[in-house]
Amino acid sequence: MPSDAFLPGLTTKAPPWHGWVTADLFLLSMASGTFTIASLFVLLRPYEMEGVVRAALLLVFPLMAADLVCLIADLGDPMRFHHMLRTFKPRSPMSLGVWTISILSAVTFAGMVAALLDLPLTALRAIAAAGIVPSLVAGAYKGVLFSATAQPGWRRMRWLGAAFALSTMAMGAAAMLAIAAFKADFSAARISRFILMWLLVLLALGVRRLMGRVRTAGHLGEAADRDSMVRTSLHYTMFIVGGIGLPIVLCALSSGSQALDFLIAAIVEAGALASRHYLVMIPHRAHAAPVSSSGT
Amino acid sequence: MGLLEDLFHPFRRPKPPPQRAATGFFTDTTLCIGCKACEVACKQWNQLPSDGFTFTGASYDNTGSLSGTTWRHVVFVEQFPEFRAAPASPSESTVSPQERQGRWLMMSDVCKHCRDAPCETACPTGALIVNEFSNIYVQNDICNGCGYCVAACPFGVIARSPLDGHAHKCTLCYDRQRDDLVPACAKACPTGSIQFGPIDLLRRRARERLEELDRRGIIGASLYGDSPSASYSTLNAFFLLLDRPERYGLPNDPERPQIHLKGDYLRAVLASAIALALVSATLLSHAF
Repeated sequence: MPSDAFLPGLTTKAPPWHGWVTADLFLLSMASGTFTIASLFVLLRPYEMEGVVRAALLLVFPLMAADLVCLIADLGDPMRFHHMLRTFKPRSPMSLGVWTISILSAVTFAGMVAALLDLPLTALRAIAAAGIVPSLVAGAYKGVLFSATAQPGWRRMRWLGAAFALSTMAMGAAAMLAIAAFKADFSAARISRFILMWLLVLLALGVRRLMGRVRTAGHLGEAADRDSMVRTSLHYTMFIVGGIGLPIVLCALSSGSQALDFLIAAIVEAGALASRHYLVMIPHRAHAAPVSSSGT
Repeated sequence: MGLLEDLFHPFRRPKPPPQRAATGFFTDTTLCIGCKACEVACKQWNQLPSDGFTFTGASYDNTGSLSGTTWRHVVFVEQFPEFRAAPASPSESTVSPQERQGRWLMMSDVCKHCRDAPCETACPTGALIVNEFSNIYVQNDICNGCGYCVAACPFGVIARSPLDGHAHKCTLCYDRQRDDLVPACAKACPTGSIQFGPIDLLRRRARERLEELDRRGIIGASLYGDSPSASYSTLNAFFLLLDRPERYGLPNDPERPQIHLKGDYLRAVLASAIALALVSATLLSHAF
């Protein structure tokens, strides 16, 4: 057969998303996850958890504000950020997400004010009830946003939204663990540690489902060769063992040491940051990889 | 006033113009000679800047791909036999005389103006619209350069320009169409490879051309984007190809990215519900 001397490469273009998007993914997950867990704490165990919840609410809005900075800085024309609010399209995960973030920002701002002014517990519970659905959506929508694209790797990840939902809540539980350790609230720390451990187990199952697609469809798309698939599987295994497995073991072995709690939280957050950056860069790696002879 | 105008301008919704007959492109690659007149005409009419001039090493292609500043791109594919040591006798040769001769495949690539365009669905600002000619059009005063359309396009057409940070692609010469003129590329094409017109007429013409090629014994000709597949809509800019689509850099079986959206949302909701139940059960448990 004739050879195709100049066979074109992948048919898609990698989106112009890099470090700002990684930071956005991390900060939004951190903020929404912390708000979700803090909300559940104050709604279901109000008197016992009030101290850690107030501290968490002071933290969440600054995280949201930092996330908004990243979100806007990543735009090609940051002065036009508000154009996102001229329409609402549920079929566009980005549109859904922007509206959710806008609502969550207002709620978390109210939470910060309530914590600063030392408003009564009823006010905190009302804010938690108002923000829990937006915080859950904000935690999960980015996964759906990535999987609803034509990009190699992302487009095969049918469980990415689910993995983001679990990862976000695990990050929130890790943040609550760190706050409880900082405030020397050992009861809150014990509960946070237990919750974190089970969320990480669920997350491991979710990521395992993503890995299944790596083996069957090729994580880097149709241009991926066997070496890159093996490499990708190894990276995933590293994230599971280091970012999920190790904290689970440490949670199970912990006897309540504050230093260990900080370490567990740091490992979970660092793993979340690294895995998010890895995810953002998948299309860039795919486009940089040599084109296979089978084309696309 | 200037700042307020900038803030509120995008929220104004003028009355849309009345619907006109759907138009599109039919690109017959059997007629393309690789002259790049379409690329030049597109650049000139739309006042698109130069992308520089580099040796790509990819045949006669100096453009590389469609981009925010290149809305027509002529693809060159050389199909010639690989170098082989001369066989001892002609009967030992595994390459047929026709294959030994080789061939060029050339195609003027462009935005496909998909009937159900993923970029238009993805766009969170509403900058991407279906205009009165059923073409996919970017409103430059609305786009904020989020890049989601770039991620959504399975053909790698739309791109964010580094010059203004906004997404750009072929407009199907909307300004010319409004004045009843033919798009610049179709006007410039010297062989009739790029044909513009009402989409129904183009589809009829394309099928007749395919039958004609079949009668003449041309093997492997097919229409790309003429009819919908299970996973993708028809294209309003469609092609007559002489080889498999991937040979031209087109996805063989494009998939609409939003096709699994409901399931993706559902899985995320399911995971959230399980996690919520787990955390709630822990908090309500008397064990702690």
